[in-house]
Amino acid sequence: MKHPSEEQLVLRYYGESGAPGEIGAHLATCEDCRRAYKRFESALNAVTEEAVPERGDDYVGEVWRSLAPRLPERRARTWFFPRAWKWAPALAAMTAMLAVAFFAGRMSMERRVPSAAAQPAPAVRERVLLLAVGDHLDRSQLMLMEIVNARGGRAVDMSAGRAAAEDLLDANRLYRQTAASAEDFAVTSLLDDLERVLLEIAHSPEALTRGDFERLRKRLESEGILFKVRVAGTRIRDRERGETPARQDKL
Amino acid sequence: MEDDAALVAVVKAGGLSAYRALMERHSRNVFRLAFRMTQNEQDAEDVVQETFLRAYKNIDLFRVESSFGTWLYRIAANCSLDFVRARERRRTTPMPESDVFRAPQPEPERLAFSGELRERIAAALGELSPMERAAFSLRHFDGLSIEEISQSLGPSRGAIKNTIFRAAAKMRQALEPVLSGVTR
Repeated sequence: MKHPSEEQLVLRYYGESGAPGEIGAHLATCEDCRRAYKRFESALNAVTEEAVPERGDDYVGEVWRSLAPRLPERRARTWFFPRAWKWAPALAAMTAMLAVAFFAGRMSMERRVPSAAAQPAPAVRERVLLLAVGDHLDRSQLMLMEIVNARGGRAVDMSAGRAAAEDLLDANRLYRQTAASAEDFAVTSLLDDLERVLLEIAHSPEALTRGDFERLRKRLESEGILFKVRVAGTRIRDRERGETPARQDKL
Repeated sequence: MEDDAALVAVVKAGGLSAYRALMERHSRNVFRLAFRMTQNEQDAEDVVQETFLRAYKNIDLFRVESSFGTWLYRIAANCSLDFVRARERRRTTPMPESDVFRAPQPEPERLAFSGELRERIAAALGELSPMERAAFSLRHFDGLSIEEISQSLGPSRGAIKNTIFRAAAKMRQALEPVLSGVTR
């Protein structure tokens, strides 16, 4: 091997050399290159962390107080922005009714008309429910994340969260009943868990003390509801895309 | 603990509190990078503000497949460069020449070695260009790979390799007189 360049020696020092074996073998036999490498090594070994001024405990709070008023409002679909959110319950209710209607229709047709040719395609029916539940889980996830990440002083305002939970609760009941009727037990179980959480939030006080809020947050985290909702949402999206076609596979 | 991608999804949907959670995770690292590049505490503070403002305005451009931290570093590096360039333009009197290259060499036995070395290192880092300082610091102090530094700061891997080499050569040139005095 020809003599490595100084750049190659520096890269070797940082473990980024493309041919560390070759350079190592060369250094073992070439006194000049070994000396050049040692010069870099001793200088770079001496460079310890420079002093970066420490930030205080409330550093993020300070930055946030200064930054927040400058952040432009985003067109939102969460309960933090009521103007956008006001249509969500109506949309959720319409989707829920659509899904329920499909499934009710399916069950009633199964009783009355034995011919498969007369029924809506099962794949279409399932897709409607999946779309509706997936959308519902997305909204629930956003609402739960807003709560888990909420900040406040001594008291945390829960009024917007309560309103959102109430809206989600109605849709959740419809989906749970529909999923139970369709014998989709995994979805039913998840929506059952979610319903208890939504009920608790919907019936929480307008404002929670910091201590009560932390207890609520810890309970949400320990129950893993957010994780369950996210995983279920992802799997439902997979099912929507047909990546898990078997009905019995469920969530 | 939510991952960054999930928090970004909430921010995109209008959830402001999730953005604060992202700031809690990344603001100190952004400050460190900004301080290393600007070498000025107040400028670094301003860079942090500007970085998070730009990131928020452009959050829809962030792709969830990539790392939010890397994306933010890139914005912070660009902000820092903007600040340094603006400062250079504002400057009416030249900066004093660094002591590193003009100070007479004291006798090794009279050196308070560690103190002297620290001063040399700080002065030598101050002599690096902002991009050299950023790339070198991210590699040397934070242990980021060249690939990660390239993604964070923008230039290609080849350019980053060359930048780190230049910085290392300058550091060696500045520190060798002190280090060789000790071994003499």
